[in-house]
Amino acid sequence: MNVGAAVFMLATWTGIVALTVYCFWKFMHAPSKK
Amino acid sequence: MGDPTAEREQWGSRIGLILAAAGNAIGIGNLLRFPNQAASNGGGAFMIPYVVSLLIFGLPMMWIAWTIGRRGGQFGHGTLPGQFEKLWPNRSAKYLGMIGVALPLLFCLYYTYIEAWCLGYSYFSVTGNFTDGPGRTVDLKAYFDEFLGTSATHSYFSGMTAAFVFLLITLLLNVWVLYKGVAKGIELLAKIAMPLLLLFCVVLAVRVFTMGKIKGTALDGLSFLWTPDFAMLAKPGVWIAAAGQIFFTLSIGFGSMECYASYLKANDDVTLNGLTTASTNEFVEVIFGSMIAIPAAAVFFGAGAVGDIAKSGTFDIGMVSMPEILRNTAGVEVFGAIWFLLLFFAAFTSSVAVAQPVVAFLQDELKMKRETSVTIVGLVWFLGTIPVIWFYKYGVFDELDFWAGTIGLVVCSIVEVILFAWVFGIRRGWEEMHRGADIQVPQIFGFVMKYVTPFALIAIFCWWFYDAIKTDQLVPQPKITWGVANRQEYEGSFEKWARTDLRTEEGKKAQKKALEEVGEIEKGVKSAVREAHRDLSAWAEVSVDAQGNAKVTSFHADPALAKNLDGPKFERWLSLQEWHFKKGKLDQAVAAPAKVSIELTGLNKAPFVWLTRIIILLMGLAFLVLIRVAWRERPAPEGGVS
Repeated sequence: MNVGAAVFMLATWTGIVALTVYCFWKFMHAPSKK
Repeated sequence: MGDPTAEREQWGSRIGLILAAAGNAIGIGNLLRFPNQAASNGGGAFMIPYVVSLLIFGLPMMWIAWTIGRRGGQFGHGTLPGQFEKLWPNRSAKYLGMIGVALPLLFCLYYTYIEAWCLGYSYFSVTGNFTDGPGRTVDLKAYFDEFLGTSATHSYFSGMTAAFVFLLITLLLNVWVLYKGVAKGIELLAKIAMPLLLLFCVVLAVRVFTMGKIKGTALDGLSFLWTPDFAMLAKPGVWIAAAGQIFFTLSIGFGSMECYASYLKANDDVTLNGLTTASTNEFVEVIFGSMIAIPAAAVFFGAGAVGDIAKSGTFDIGMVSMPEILRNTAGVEVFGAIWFLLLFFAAFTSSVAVAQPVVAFLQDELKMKRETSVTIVGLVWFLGTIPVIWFYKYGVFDELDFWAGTIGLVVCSIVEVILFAWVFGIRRGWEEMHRGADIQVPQIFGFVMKYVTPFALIAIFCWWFYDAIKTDQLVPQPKITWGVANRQEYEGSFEKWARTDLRTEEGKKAQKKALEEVGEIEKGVKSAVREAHRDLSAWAEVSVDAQGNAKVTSFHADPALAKNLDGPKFERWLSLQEWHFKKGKLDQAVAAPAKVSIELTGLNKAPFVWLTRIIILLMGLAFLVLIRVAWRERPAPEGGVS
């Protein structure tokens, strides 16, 4: 696998995983309204 | 008005709502369309316009949809006619919302058919129906064409009964879930289907990455998909493709997410819910969408061939290449079933979401009971899907997809964002969005919603329409379909482009020249069809030798076609495409002689395409009438123009 591809892939995946984890973390810690 | 929410349904739990909303967004496009679009539009570099589109279209429209939906729900409106009126107190507003009920119904008519293919293919995987056996060889492209009824031949399916049966089962499953209601139907389905969907993704990704090396490795596939081609970023088409993918993948711009949000309470969060829906969708699309189909193709067909497969089209990747790979590796009964069930669940959670606005419209605005609404929607759905199946080969499916899935989505989004950011006002909209919010959306998105999203959407709409006119998409063209009638007698595959090396510039030039001549011959067939105003067929006996030279030994054609297509022309048409037979399994296949009967048909699509357009118009008009009836005795909206 070439370096350019690996960099793009890992950067995108990391961003998306971080966003998803953040969302679910906030979700778990949000005041219970429902 | 009393408490309009008192009789409306509610979500049972927040996790159920998130799973249902994510299930709404996650569909077949995540696993098939994304890799196809990325591979065709710059590989890794595609992620730049993709992320930009997510920021200027995806997230703003997602938050707007949730906010409009929740606000409408507080007044008892689950669909855009009523929701738009609450943004713009004017008698015209509800009629603009018609698009948010008509579009979902149009989607249902063709999307359920794709869902039915997946259910059918998971059954065929388990029963070994598309695997080769003693005395039986299956060409998966021909198999898929015959399943859909688009092929002129009948080697594997005598008719369309199988497709019809799986469609009926799929439709009944959808109706059953809708009948059970929001919490006990849609939410329960999401709670079962979404974890299964993620589990299937993981199982298949592990399977692909443990296949080892056959002609290539899974990493070759990732490398192909993610290698950035920055030169592609200079092409406007790449940016348009990225914007299109964001629209398709997030299920925004047609009233479905708004309908789900309408079942929230007044102070329930929408900002975090919207962001979580989008991020979960992106997680499945960008990670699993690139870890299954393309790496599997690289393992099995090699790095050199993966480009053609990736660009072969969404359905070819899912329904031809993936089964080809799975049936040639151990455990097709299990992994084939898992692959197609994965696609089925992804589609199932989306199709119930798409149908719910239609059900909600009948319930909320025409005050029907849920059971009655679902029964009516189910019947219209069933009746409307029949022409999509029977006339699939005449382009009814594609026509619905173009008007509903491409043009309609953007038009609806333009109306929605203008009403929210300009008519209702971005300041009020921002306050409404942040009522009960669990996260604060960065202020910059207020600017984006007001200025960037609407203008960029209008630009995209103009581009798509211009492209449709330029490529003659608005003028129905005849379509040519052909196949080998005695296909079953030959163990191997009929292929094209054997001699041309498409990796070289000369090869590409030679193919371009050949395709031009092929196009000229086909133009003759199409012109004959247009003049005759009916389907025209030709039959040929063809011998192909071990060097791949095709010779027509006998030729018959419909008299109306014979003047434009004769034996020598047909032979030239086959030879130009270097059409030939390869004996044996894919890995060890070698060119071999064959004697086959070929049937070619020029399909007269025009009447069916126009009929579809008329049906779309009539459906829009019918909903306008229903809206008028529903609002007949209601007072003019407060502060509105009467």
